[in-house]
Amino acid sequence: MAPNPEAPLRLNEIEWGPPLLPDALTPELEALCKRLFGGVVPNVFRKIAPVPWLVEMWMALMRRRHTCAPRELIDLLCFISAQENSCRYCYGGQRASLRLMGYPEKRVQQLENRVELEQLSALERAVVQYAATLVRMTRRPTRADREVLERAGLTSLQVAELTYLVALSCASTRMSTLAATPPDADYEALPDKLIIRLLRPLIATQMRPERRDAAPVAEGPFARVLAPLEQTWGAQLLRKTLDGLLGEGPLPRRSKLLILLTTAHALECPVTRAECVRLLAEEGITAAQADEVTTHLSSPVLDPLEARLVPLARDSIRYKPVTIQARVRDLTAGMEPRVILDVLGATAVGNALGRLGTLS
Amino acid sequence: MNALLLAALVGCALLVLWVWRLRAERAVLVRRVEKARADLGRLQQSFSRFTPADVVEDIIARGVAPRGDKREVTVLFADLQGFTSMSDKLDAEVMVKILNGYFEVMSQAIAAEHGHVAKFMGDGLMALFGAVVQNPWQARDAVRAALGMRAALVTYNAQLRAQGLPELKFGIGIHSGEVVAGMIGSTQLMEFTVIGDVVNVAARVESLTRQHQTDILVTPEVRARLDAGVRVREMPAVPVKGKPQPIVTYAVDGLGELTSSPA
Repeated sequence: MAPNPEAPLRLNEIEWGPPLLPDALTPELEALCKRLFGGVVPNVFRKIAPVPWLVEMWMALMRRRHTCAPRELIDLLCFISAQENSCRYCYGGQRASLRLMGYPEKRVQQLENRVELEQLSALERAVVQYAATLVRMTRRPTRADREVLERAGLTSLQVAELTYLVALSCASTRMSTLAATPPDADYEALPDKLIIRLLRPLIATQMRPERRDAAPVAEGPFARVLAPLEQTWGAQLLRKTLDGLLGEGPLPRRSKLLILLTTAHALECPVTRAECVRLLAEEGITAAQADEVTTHLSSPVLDPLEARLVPLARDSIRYKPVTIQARVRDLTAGMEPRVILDVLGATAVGNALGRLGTLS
Repeated sequence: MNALLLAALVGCALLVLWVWRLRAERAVLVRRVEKARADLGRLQQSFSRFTPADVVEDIIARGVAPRGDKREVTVLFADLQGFTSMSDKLDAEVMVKILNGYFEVMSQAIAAEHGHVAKFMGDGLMALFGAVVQNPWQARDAVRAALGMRAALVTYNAQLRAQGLPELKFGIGIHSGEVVAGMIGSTQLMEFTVIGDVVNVAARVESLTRQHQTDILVTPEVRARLDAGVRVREMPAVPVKGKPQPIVTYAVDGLGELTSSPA
């Protein structure tokens, strides 16, 4: 029988292919990483260095930048999201982070096996359930799902920010899984080192999620999707991310929008889909043509590259890592690394928008 | 005095022994609980590979109870033709090896197109698209899976031929529609599967492949959801058991170029 791709795997069960992208680290980025991550350069930055908006998105996730969500819930949520996404790179990193922050190995195992969850508080259990639902998207989370979190003690803005963090995690796991980013083996081994165990309280303080104030966000594409995050720092990051995605890079804007359209349709996100259709009209693609693309994942309006990218965008919703890595490798054979980064970036952002749209 | 001291010492020793034994028993129990927890975790993981995660979580929370819901799925039936007569001439071990190899490559072709094998039935199989997670492209996926199975069978037959073994031939029937999906079976054996007329029609359509001398047949419901790039030929309407009207089917030849522009 074929595996159900929605079932979360454990770390040693995830098959992982060889890296897709070459190293492209700049001295400036290397220095920044070393400063921010205690002298370590996470492998993902070696791969995405040529794309500033991707670098910023990853920095935000790794520093867990936020405005109002409770910090301890952010750690829990990021771990669950990485595991549910079966991303060897992110899951290994988040697992090591939890242990560095003081979670005993046994507690981490209970979380990843989803057993003895009664030891968690009602709020923590609700967060685990919400994150899993949002990652899987076998059904779209509704207002009722968010109300469970509110009844457990969160404000609606905190819930929106947690939704943003899961969406961001879904974006970054697509990037690292599709590009088969090599796990940070040295970082994953840190929690078991004696010196690290002795210094754990100090390390935990340094690793706390970074609080950032919200600031006004300029109008632009997908404003309706970003609106629920207006009073959080995430809105700024996503505005920069979208401006970077749609305004830079060698892959044409319409090709990127077609990827976003496909992921929005696959995730049943009407607000993101409608915005894609509006923006595609500016690129000369009619609503009927957009409909044909989403109905059949094909259309005469697509150029040969787009005809391959649209099915890939759909495949990026649920997958077995090693299978999609092989598919991406075939599809991008002979492609410039910068174009590949655009393709993977659009796929990643599409997966985030489709989930953020649940707030609208 | 000495006797009192001796009694106290013996008492202490017995107490220490008793505590030591309790600790040993506790350690054994903790190990058993840990093992049971790990087994449960593995079972939960394995189970959720073939069953929607929300169904698994519901079962864990509330136990196995009658539940089911209606959903749109595409059903693919594949059956080997002439395998029963072939099996009469083959060694049992060889036959099982051939069949397992066949199921392996067919399962891979199905999984590659977002489907999953719900059942193996003798030399046949039933695959579902859109049963575990909602899938708006289920008909497209099922047809592509069938084409992938066709290509995989060519490769597999070449391997069989090289070993001096007989080649296989299959028929595939595909139909889409609403079914009831849920945990079905007895308390001893239960599985997540689908029931409904759609399943019966898919099986009947598969049996028509012999009559129409082709390998892949789809119903009009499936055809309507395919783009113009899928090359099909209409087959004559044929009466089938359990259907008041003869069934029109389409033979799938392959994938071509998209030429027509949408309105």
